[in-house]
Amino acid sequence: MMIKYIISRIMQSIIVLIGVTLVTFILVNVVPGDAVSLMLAKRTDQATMDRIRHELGFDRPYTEQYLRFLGNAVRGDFGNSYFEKTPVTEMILRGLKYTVRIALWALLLALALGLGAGIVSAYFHNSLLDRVIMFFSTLGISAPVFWLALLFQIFFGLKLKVLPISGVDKPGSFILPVLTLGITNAASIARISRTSLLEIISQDYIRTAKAKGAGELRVVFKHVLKNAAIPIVTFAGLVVRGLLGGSMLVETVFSIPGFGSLMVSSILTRDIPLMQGCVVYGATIFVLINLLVDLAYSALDPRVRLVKET
Amino acid sequence: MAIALLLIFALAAMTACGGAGKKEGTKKTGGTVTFGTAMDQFGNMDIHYTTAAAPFQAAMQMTEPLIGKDPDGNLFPLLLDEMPEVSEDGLTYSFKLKSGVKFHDGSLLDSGDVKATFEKMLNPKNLSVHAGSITTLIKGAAEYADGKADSISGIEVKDDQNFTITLVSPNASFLNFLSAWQMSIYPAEAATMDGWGTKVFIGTGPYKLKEFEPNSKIVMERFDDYHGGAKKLDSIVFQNMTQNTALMEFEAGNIDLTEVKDTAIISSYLENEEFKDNIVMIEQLGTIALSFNMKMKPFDNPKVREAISIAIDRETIVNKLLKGLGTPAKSFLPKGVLGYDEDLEEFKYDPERAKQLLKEAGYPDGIDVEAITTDTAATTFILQYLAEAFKEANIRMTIQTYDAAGFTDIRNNGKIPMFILTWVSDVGDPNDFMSLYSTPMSQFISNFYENSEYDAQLQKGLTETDLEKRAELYRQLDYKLTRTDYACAPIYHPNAFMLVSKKIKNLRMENCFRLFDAELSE
Repeated sequence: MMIKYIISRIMQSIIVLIGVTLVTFILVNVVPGDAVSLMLAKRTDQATMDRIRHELGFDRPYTEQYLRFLGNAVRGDFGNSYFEKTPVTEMILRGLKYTVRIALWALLLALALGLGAGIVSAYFHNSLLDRVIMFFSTLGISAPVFWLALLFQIFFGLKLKVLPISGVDKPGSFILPVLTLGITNAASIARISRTSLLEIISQDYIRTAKAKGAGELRVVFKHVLKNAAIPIVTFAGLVVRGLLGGSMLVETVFSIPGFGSLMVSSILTRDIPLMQGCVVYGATIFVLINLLVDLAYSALDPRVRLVKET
Repeated sequence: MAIALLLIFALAAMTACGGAGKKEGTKKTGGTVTFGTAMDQFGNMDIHYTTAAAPFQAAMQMTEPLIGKDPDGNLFPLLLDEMPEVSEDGLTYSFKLKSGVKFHDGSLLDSGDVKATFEKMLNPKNLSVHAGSITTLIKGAAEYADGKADSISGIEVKDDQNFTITLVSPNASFLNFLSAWQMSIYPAEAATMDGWGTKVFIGTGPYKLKEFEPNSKIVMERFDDYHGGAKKLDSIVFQNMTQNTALMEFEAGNIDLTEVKDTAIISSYLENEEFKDNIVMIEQLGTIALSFNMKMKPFDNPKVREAISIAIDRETIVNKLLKGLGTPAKSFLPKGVLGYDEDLEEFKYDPERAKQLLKEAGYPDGIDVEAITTDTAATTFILQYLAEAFKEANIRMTIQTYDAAGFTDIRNNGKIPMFILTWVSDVGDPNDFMSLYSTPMSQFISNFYENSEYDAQLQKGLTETDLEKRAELYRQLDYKLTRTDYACAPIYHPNAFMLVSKKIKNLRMENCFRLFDAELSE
């Protein structure tokens, strides 16, 4: 049963990915910015440009170009970057090394801080502590990532001189990027978890558990958290995606050569193989996260997969 | 409490992993200089395939062209025994390489390396972005680039140290051209070496590659066998960062120098007691001009172009907007380039006469024009000012912004009505400036100036070897371009500015990014 569900979700994901490659291919061919003239900075004659265009296969029909791109993409082969002349996959893996590291730590921070604050807020519902936490979480949600990043750089790097302002190779380089991404997302998680916990706390079975004499902590962790998990997991999935998106800004501000900044520069320089590679890899990661979130649902709540099957 | 503890634990763990791989420098006398700069276009060290600034600035530490250029613009033999001899007909140059010049891998530089470097740039399968000018200059180069010849017939290797280069036609700027950094000599193996430019990069320069992380960092260390004698610094580091981050890193003392492009920031540093002495000006040979599309209405009318040119208040732009950090232009050629006319009168700002000219051109109600810029252009504020100021002369201007790649594409395709051209020469020869408006070059800047007399005189300028006569030819060309035909309206000549740590001595950055000559005072 579970296997059937997983297979159907994987099939859906594949269709989404094919759609992504098609859209990427169309966009690349529509935006102004001819790659060949950019590559050669138009310092050469038309005949040479035509020859290079031919060698790169740009003069073939679009359908043929797309199918060849799709065929190579399936094998993870996006060709070489026009400017770096390095295989695109190698460059993307190099960038992901930093991005994933930052995203994972930021996720951990966001979950720990957000869930913790959410639980405390819900538990001390309507108290002063609850209001203070909610005030700061509203502030956290409203603060743009790059603005927070700049504030941290100025405060911790320039004024206090306790953490590196930018780069990746000094001790503690990752702290500020992780704090920036972690805090903004923790704020959202705190609010979501508070709301869903409050909803559960008022349910009959919680009152029953309390009436039966179960300790407060046991009630919170065993009964409340477990039942509030679905919206929180959904949101955590969103956070991971948000982290990958936010990493573009954070990586630019903190000068981190990650996946986000690679993608931005590929677009700015119209490095088509790199651009296509980034989009397809990025989309694959998103689709995989979605898949994992969906599978987590069905593990947490059997109703999800049963409903799908009827 | 638990959360706080978890947080502290997480941060501690990150500190630990962030610190991995960092080695504490064993401090030698020479020391290290760190340059903070944007490296987003620095994925490859091979400057044959880029025009971006950072890869060039790094290559200037590691590789060398045959001929060098000093801070005052004088040419000198760098990899040569002496300046090459030129044949009577001005076509053949005979070179003799300096003996004992070593590449970083220990091998000796020979004539074969020179020929192989040119052939690498013209490899039909992997054409250099700088190939265009070589194919028009050197005999047989175009055939080789087209795959019709096995080697460049115009470059002849006599022996290990001697070789000749034969040109298509005599060219007075050829030696200047050879001094451009993209003409650096690589070892012959570079053409076929795996990972050349990304993992390996070898030259004859004073510093050699130690570590390269594309788009992020490059570390170069002193080459002790350098043919010009070992330099002082132990190492030179380029670190990727945006302008804002670089300023913070500089103020925190973490980097030693960075370029500042924004005029407002430069002047705020100049007014800052703590940092005003850190601002260093680098004179540039360049011009910022308003360039028109002469195929589009209303710019097809010379009177309209003249009206726009005299509606520009150059004094105000330089004094108010640039806070005096540039020079108002009166010609396309900047001071310091052969043919610059010291005695020429300034452009007179005259919005009333501009209105009159527009009337004469058949636009009694003035004109509506569109200027195009990019989201990263450092000159957009000039356009914004002009959009307001032009109203005085009945010129209503709107500004459209594109991203850099989109802009280059529409410019190359001749679709830009008007834009601010920034032209800074790495060669410093007048031909480098004036040939921009020749046929068919002018179409690549969406300008379409076509004047056969202009082109013919430009050719003459290339073959004229008498300096006085040559200067006169370019003086006339400039006058024709900017005062008769008004193909473009020069606005000002820019300078470059850097924030430089006070401990760095001996820095001359004109004509070459000479970080290799720097010394630390402590």
